[in-house]
Amino acid sequence: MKGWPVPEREGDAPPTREELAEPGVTSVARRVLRVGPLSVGLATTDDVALRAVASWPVADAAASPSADIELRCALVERRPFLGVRPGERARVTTWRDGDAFHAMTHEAALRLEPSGRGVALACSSHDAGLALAVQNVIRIAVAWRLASTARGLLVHASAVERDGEALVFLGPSGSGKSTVARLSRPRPILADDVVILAPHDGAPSAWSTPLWAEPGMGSDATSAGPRRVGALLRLRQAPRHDVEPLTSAAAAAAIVAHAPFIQDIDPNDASALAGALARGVSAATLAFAKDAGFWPLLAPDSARAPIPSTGSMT
Amino acid sequence: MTWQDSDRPRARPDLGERIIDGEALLVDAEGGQILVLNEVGAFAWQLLDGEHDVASVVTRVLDEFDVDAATARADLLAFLTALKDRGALVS
Repeated sequence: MKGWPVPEREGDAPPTREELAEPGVTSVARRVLRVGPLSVGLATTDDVALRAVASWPVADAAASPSADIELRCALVERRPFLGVRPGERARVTTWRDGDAFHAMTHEAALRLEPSGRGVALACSSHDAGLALAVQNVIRIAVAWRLASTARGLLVHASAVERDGEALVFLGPSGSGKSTVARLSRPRPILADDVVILAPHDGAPSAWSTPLWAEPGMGSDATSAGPRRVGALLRLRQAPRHDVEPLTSAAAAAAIVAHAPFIQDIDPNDASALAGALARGVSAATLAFAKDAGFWPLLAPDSARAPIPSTGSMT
Repeated sequence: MTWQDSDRPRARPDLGERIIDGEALLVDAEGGQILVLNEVGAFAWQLLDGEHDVASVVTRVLDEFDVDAATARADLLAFLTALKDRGALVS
């Protein structure tokens, strides 16, 4: 077998450094992708991996000779990895090894150095599975790189443009992120699954990414680039619509709670970053009943933070 | 848990902490939890340094906030127990 060896092991035991060692192959194709404020260089020995991200926006490779993240990605074997069938949701295991960050799903493994250099393994039985594996690897690498450099956080959220700003709907899988986005049309949808939150021009801002939950969807924003965050809405499904304002600290907590791999970041960095991203932004919990009736509740001044109560201390 | 006036509770030093508009955001990476403390809780939290005892924290809360002594003490003891239950204090 050429390239990286498959981690042959049971359960979630991490591959060793040797197992993720540099491959002895030299023939690679390279593409530099734009993911929010980051550029991701993807070099691969297999053009299936490149095709998996073929529709993504390409960064100006000449302007970014060294991308923020450099991944060498290989399809190791076309067979189910660790017995998980395509389409099944796989748990992601992450861990630190010195300064390096590791992640492993049932479909892919990743080692990323603080410099942004990384090695990814992807294993799948067919091209669609590989596309998912490659996108998962990029998603994990971007999330960690953003947070570890304190440039921003990748969060589970959808986002909709209103008056040039982004309304960001935070929620876990199944909370209705995609549904809220679809019901918001004809307002432009910026993202349906993940959003990058980062400061831009001194204000908390949201970037769309090529990472979409629903196949075939993509940003229908009128222009590229970040949007100032107009409001942070934490989604909760309920029989009827309601908006309950959140304080800035509670909004920061919601951001942290929806940021994957945050446990691998210094907690002080995580809280500082989330605090900065929530500061001055209207925030609320949006109880949401799967129809478009919530929009009138999102008037620009309906999600102001209330004066904190002092009745109990938590 | 029963708290004594002479107890000197200490916040876990490895928690990420951020004061935002007077409230506190605590990130417990090890325990995988996030806590938000309101203004009074955030004020008390910053006194949980292993030096201040329970009685002195109550006194400081009374100095800072418009609350009666019995309420302040009861709220603080409940607060300390909640923090203890969530593993936010050094045991």
